[in-house]
Amino acid sequence: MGTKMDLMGKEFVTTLMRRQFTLSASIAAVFVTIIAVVPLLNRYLPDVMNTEFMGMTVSWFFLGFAIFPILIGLAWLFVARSNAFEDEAIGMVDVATLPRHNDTAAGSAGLGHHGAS
Amino acid sequence: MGVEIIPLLFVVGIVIATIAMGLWATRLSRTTSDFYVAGRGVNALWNSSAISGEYLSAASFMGIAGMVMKFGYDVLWYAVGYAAGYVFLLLFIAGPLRRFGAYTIPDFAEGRFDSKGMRKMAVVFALAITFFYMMPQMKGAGITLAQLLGSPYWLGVVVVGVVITLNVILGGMKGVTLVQAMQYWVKQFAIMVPIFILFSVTGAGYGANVKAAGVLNTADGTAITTISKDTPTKYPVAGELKFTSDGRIVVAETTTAKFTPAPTTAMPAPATSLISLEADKPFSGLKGQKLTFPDGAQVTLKAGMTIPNVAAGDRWLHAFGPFTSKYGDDYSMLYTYSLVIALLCGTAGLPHILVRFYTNPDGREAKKTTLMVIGFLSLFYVFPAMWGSLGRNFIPALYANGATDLVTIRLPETIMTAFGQPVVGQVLTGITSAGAFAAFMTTFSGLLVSVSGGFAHDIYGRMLRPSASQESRLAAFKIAAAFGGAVAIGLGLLVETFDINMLVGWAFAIGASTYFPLLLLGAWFRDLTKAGAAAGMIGGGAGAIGSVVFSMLVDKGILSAPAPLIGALTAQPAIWTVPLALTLMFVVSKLTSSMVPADADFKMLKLHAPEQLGLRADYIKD
Repeated sequence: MGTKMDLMGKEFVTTLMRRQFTLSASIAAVFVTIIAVVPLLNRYLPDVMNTEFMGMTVSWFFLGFAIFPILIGLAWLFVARSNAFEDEAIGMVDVATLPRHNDTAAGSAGLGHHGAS
Repeated sequence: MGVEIIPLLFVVGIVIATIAMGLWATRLSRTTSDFYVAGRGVNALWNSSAISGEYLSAASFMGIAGMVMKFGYDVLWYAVGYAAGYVFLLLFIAGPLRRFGAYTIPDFAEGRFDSKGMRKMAVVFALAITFFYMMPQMKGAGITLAQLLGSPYWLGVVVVGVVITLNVILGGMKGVTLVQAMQYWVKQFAIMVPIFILFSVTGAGYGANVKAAGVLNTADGTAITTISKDTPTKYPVAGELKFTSDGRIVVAETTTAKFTPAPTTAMPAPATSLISLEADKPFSGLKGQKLTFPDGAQVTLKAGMTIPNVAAGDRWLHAFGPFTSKYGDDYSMLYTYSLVIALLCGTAGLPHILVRFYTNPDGREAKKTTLMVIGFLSLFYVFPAMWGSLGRNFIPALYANGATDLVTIRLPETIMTAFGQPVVGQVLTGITSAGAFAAFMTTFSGLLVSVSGGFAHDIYGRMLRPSASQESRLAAFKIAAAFGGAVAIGLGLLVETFDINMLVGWAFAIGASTYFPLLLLGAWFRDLTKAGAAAGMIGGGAGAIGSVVFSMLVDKGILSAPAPLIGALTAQPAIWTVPLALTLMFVVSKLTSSMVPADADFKMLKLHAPEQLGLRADYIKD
């Protein structure tokens, strides 16, 4: 990243949103595919889905247990990637274009403040 | 059965603890900002416990277990969907919403489009969704207390309504945050610990119970099952036993019941007669017949009897069972997908949950909170299906009187009594009763804060008297809370005969078709205009509310049943109302592109830029 971007410039907001959205949309695609495929398997491969597994059926085990760690994993992946990207985005901005005022209720925002604890 | 002392003590304990924490928190709660969003300084652990506590309602604590018991596999989607909805919220909404710096969704609607009209529309939908969601909480409280006390339905509604309303008036949201965070852990404990004890006492685990439940079946595969133990059941109100399948019952004491024969196609509607039922003599009911018992009648299912109203084992165990194929096997897949869409998108459209995201100090903290909520909810939602499958094997009497919603309350007592430990059973039932009360109380208090905030902040503070002082806004909040509590109690008294999950389903479908599209496109589609947003919300909202009212009227027999396809699409409308709302928003925005706010780029920057860049300006300063 050679030149820094103007905070208020069109280029910065477009880049920011495109990258955030690409991340969200790719994780959503994985997530929706996993969810959407279950009814299809139940309908078209019932013999596989109704096989006994862990005392119950494959299908019951998936919705009753296995899907929850998957949800947590996808959510964790998103948060880690999204935060890493935000740190990068801060570095992309030309410091001269940052607002100097501090206009928040708590007075806690502004350059250098890291909200995450 | 009379009053059950031990469970009652647990319930009284949780109610007193709730009041005490609310009062204690009052001292921490001073300013308007504290009242609305807990001063923004709530850390991620507190806030995620509180969001989970607020979210786990009567439907989650009692409803899913009851419906799994009744319908089987298909209901697992509720548990998955209630948790997975937060993934959508996290991916697309949580961070931007917090960064925009508004208190409520109406604030967002006004700020995003610079339009007072959008605020008004958002307020109307928020209130509609919230009041729909309050009714099932009230109903859950009414029936649970009726079980424990032998009290009339209205008492539970009034007790829970009054206690929580006082708590909100005295403590505001900070009080509520403390109480809700604590009550998440109460609920988690109450759903988790007793079930492990029950598994160990009965000697069979989850898998074995699902398997056993899946083969409860007669040879010809009809909806009949036999039981191995006597299980008595009491009709909570003057009870109605409608035989949806053949079955046999006996009554404990000689009694008379109103008997309605099964309707036949050739004859006019059958006349109701009075019949006398002798104690200990079995009565064989046929599908379609109905018995109406006097108040307090006890019905027993003897060992070896066929139980009325049970779905056959394989229908229960496998996908596309009695729940999703209500409108025929051809539409069970459609029904499943539509249900899943409503749950996934509806979570991101519930105003009382969304308002919680403003209590995070910044967008990064909002994401962390959501991640933790997904973890907490995943841990919780593994358990309701365990209760449902255990209930199917051990307390089939609940099928007979249509009270499967009570499985989490009744099961510990029933099993422990059968295994010679009635006192332990009472204690465990006390724990689950306290968990159920925690569920009604936390969800109701969150909803009440949301409604009161809507009245005091959006209607009074922004529309009626923008110049109002902080004191008068605070007073408006308290008056609104008292008013909202009274309305909720009134509505709660009206819904005794409605199904808890039907009511919750309405709120999800409406949220998914109105707020979810507004927030999704509002955060990501720069050229969204107020005309587009309004068209989408009205179109989606009208479709969802219209469908819900239509299927309710059909359910009550006021309108005649439509074709199965229409039936499925109105009972679960999300599959068409969500795309309708999104499409309307997109197309109308394109047609009215001159209305795109001049500073749309800056708004998008505020929604997405990290706080460290110093763009944030919170709406209310104090």
